[in-house]
Amino acid sequence: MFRKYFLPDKISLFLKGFLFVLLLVPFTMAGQGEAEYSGPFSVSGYTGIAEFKYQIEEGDTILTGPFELSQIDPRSLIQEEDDYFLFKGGFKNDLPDGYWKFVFGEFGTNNNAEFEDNAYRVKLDGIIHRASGSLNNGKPNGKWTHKIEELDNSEIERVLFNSSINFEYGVPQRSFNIENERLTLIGRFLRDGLAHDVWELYSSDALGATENWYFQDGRLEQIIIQQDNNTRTLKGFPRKMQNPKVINLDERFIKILQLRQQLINKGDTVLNDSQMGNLLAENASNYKKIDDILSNLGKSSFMPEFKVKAEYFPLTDNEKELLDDIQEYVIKSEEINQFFIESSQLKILQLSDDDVAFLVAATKGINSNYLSLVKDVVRYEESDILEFVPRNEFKGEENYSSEFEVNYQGQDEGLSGTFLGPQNRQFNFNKDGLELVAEVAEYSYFSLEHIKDQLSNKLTERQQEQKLANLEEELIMGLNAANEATDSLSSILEGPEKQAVLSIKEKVNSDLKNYSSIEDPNVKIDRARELITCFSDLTKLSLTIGNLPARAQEIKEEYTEEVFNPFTATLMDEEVKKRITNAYNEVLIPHFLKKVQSDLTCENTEEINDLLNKSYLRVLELKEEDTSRIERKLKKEKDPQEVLQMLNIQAVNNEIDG
Amino acid sequence: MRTVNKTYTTLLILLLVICSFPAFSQDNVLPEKSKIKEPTTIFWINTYGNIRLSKRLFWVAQTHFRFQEKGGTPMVGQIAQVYNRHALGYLFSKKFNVAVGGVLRINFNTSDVLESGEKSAVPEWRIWEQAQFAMPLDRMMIYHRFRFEQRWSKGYLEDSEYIYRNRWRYMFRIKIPINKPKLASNTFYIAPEAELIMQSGEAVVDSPMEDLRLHASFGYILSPRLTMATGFLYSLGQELHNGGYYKQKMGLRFHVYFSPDFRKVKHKLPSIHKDD
Repeated sequence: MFRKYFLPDKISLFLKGFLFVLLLVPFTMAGQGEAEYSGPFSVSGYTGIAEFKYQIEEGDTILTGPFELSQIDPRSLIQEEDDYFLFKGGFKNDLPDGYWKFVFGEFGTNNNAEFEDNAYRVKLDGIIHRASGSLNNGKPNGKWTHKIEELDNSEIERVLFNSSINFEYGVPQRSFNIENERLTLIGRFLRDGLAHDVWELYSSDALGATENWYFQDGRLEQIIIQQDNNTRTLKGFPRKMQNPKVINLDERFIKILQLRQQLINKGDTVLNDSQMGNLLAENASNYKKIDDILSNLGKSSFMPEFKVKAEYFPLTDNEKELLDDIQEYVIKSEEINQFFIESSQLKILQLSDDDVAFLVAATKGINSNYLSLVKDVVRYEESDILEFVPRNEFKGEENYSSEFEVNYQGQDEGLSGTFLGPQNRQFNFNKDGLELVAEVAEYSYFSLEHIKDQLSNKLTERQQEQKLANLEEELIMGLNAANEATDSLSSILEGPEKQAVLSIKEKVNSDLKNYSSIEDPNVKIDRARELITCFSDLTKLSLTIGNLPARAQEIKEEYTEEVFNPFTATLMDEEVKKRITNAYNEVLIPHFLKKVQSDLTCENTEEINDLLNKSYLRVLELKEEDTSRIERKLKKEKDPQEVLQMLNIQAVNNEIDG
Repeated sequence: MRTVNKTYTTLLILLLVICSFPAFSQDNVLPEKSKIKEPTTIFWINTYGNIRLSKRLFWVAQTHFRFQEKGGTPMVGQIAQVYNRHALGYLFSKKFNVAVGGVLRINFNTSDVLESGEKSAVPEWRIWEQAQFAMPLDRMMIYHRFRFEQRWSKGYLEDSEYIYRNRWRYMFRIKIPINKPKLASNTFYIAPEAELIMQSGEAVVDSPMEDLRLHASFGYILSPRLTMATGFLYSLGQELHNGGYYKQKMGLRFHVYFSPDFRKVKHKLPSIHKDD
């Protein structure tokens, strides 16, 4: 019991509360006894300083006697604004009892102060909400009033809300009035709390009552609404209701009325503009504010229960099953809608593709014309409204069809077309009640699913096109790079190197030509990817070949030593380890160049390049190594594979000459 | 017809007798005017080895085969000498080196008719010292070679004794590359040279100029380690026993120059030109 007084968001308060518990220990030990608490206290989000009495009974804290909780912070008021509150009343055996007063204030000040009687007096601006009345055993008893006023310089500027309701042990009695800035409602209850007689709603904008609700023992007979100088009389519940049920006159009841009106009068939404519901809701929220506080302090039941009778149509087992199906379709349909909402590509695509624009417009049509009913029904069920509406009034014959006209914005002009619905299913809207709603839900879901499939194809197609366009851009860059390299190198190089580079150029252009003749986009994407890598490899290979003369020169220089010739007394260049350089220059390089000219594929390009580079690096390395054994082996060896093996040069894999 | 033949035969014998007369008399008296003998045609095949031993030391190994005319065969009619020349050389720099060594030469008796008791071949021993300077001049190389020899030689007679002589040699040689800007591998070159060989010693009375050799060769450098050359030699020098008589030689020479280096690579570095 005691734990409910704590709020976890106030740690310091918790500590103080803990001290409070410690204080209670001696009383608890003593068994029963009355104690007082004075200090910080928090309830229902209101934190302030409390003073109250309590008893401990069997480990529970029982409030009893006067209770007061208030918060006032002048410093906060002066700096910015202060949220003032005061709850004052009493408890009897843990139930609020006797006279209670609640004051809520949101105050600011203009900082003008007066000194009087040894105190500063400051004027307040803001809103003050006062509520007061008596309770008996936790239930309102007697007259309860709520008044919300706007203050300016501590003067009442406007009355924002005012209600006065008589209760007898929690049941509203006799006449009441509720008013806000614009509306005033006057009505009457029977002793059992049922609405009775005429409830009149006046508006400050109009002369006379704008809405008259006629009750008879809680049954709403009729509503007369003045709207735009017209008077409309709406039927309420029949005198002989088959299955009347007493419910609260609250927002739900208003919703039930609105829905009945729409169903019975074919979409009449006149009640949707009724002010009655808003005013009752405003009143209820003010009572709830008090109820939250009281029910957190002790046992109470403060909410006023305005009772009415409504016609009740319990759901049949079949309807319950249908509702399960409907809910499932709604969830699945919403998932698809979410997909459409989140697809930014779709938003772009519909601007450039009329088919997509049509399908997107059809989606909107399904949502607004079909799925909205289904979602409403699900909402009614969730709000406990569905069982109070005549569901057989959900009629489909005229309202729903498996195909509908779609107006949409094409690229150049407004267009229209017919959405034919999902092609692989038949729908029969010649139904009513939840059968119809289920049919509409099913239609909505399968239509959205059908559209999603088509849009997905479009998106995939578009994504593929985009992907292909990006790949082709990359491919052309690769082609240009390869052509630039081969063009410039072929003008510099001579002999077999030149021929090899020209072969590369020829291959690049012939590969591109073959690529352009591919029609299947999937094959094209794969081939484009291959060619991007291939062109890059070919460019690298041509650059390597372009380097061969320089490399040969470098190797020559590396393998040339200055030797003293005693017969000329001069230093002369001498090429050393000629078997190694010959193997490189006369066996390996001609072999690779020949391969490039006669047997070049995308698959072996990287390997040839790799071997060319490795051969060059290996030959450079061998200069400093003891190679007498290798040189002996290399004598007269003309087989490039043998030479590669002898020089310990290995390809990435051995497919090259396999 | 038989009479005519007889007359020619008689004239030929007479001519031979007349011609042989000065030779017959050269041992004895200096002629009033110097007598230049008919040139002997020769053919030399020389190998020049220069084997690198260390950074500065090298071994000179040369073998020369010298042929000369005999009877109706010009140049290669008979073997005249076989040289086996060795030395240890020292490289002061690329431009200057010295060598000291010995020579064993086999002299073959080239007389038309061997006298009784004459040997067909006798050895000749030498010690020699050499200094060679090299000078680059434009694309050419100029060489100055000084060689001094201590020579022990003897005649072919059984009881012939060794005579000692000194030899003073200076050679001037130019090597001119033809197809390359400088002497390098795969270069043709021409090499004119002139060597004056002077001699001294007890046995040398009036013939200090042993030989003046003029030689022009045409060579090809296959690599720093192998060069081939061929050339034409003309030489003129005094007879030892009678300075009034000058002998002439002319002929062809074939040379092979080789300079192997069996050192390991790591020992070859740094090369000789480090101090340039």
